[in-house]
Amino acid sequence: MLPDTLHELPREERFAYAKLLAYMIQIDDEVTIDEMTVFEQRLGTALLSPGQRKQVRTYLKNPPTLEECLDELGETSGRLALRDAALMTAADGSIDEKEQIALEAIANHLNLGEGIIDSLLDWVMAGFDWMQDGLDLLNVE
Amino acid sequence: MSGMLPDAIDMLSPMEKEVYIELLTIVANSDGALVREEMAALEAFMGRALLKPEVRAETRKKLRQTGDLEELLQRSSIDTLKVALRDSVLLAAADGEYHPAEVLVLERIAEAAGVSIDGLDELYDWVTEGWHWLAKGRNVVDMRIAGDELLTDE
Repeated sequence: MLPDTLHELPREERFAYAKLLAYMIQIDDEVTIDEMTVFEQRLGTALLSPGQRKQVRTYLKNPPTLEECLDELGETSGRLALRDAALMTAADGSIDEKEQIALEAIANHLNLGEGIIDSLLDWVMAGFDWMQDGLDLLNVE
Repeated sequence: MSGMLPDAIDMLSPMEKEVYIELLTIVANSDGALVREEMAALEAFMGRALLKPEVRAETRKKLRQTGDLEELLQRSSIDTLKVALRDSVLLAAADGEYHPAEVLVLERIAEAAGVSIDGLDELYDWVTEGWHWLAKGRNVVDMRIAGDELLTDE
């Protein structure tokens, strides 16, 4: 995935973004390798300091509350976090009820309209297809 | 819903992943300027490959050095070269343009991987499609940036 605007945000906002992803990845009590690879990818894009990365990884075992995460997010970081939370939670092939409820709560917090989660999941599926096209071009499985 | 993963990167051995990321650092270094977008992309690729922290630290040190492309190509399997080529094109595009020096390195990796110039052109087109996809994602969350109107046809 190409970097877009995340790396341009202030350090505190990038940290808040990563904190929300850490909250989301453990919400269904199961961290799959598929979700972890997206999480680590997005953590890399956030260009966090080594200390911040270490702190974010502690949230996988001792998660913050959703309210705490939302309070620290700005307008832009919140929207990017919602988008990438959808990408990450769908990476294992399914979105369970807890994940769906949390995504909707984030969207509500950001005053985004109804149907946003369905639109995001459509976008995620288009991204999966795009990734597959890249593999097909190179004839690698 | 079908999942995105596994990606071909997951099929590489730890040693192949190190070669893969070294190839990416050569591409990142090839135009003589490592901008923040490229750094973010490189960190993302290291994260996606689930590289060990010590390998990532070593990679960051190599960012200021000139690697030996030919030596790396000789050490690479075809699959490693293909995955590295795909992600190198993404990396080179990260700052919004392909520098001539980056293109030369990409063409050399493609040649070593057995990918034709036409195949490489298809990869460039694929990256452009990725930019469109990203812009659509920003559009969904109502967070457009300058130029997105050209990518989303809206």
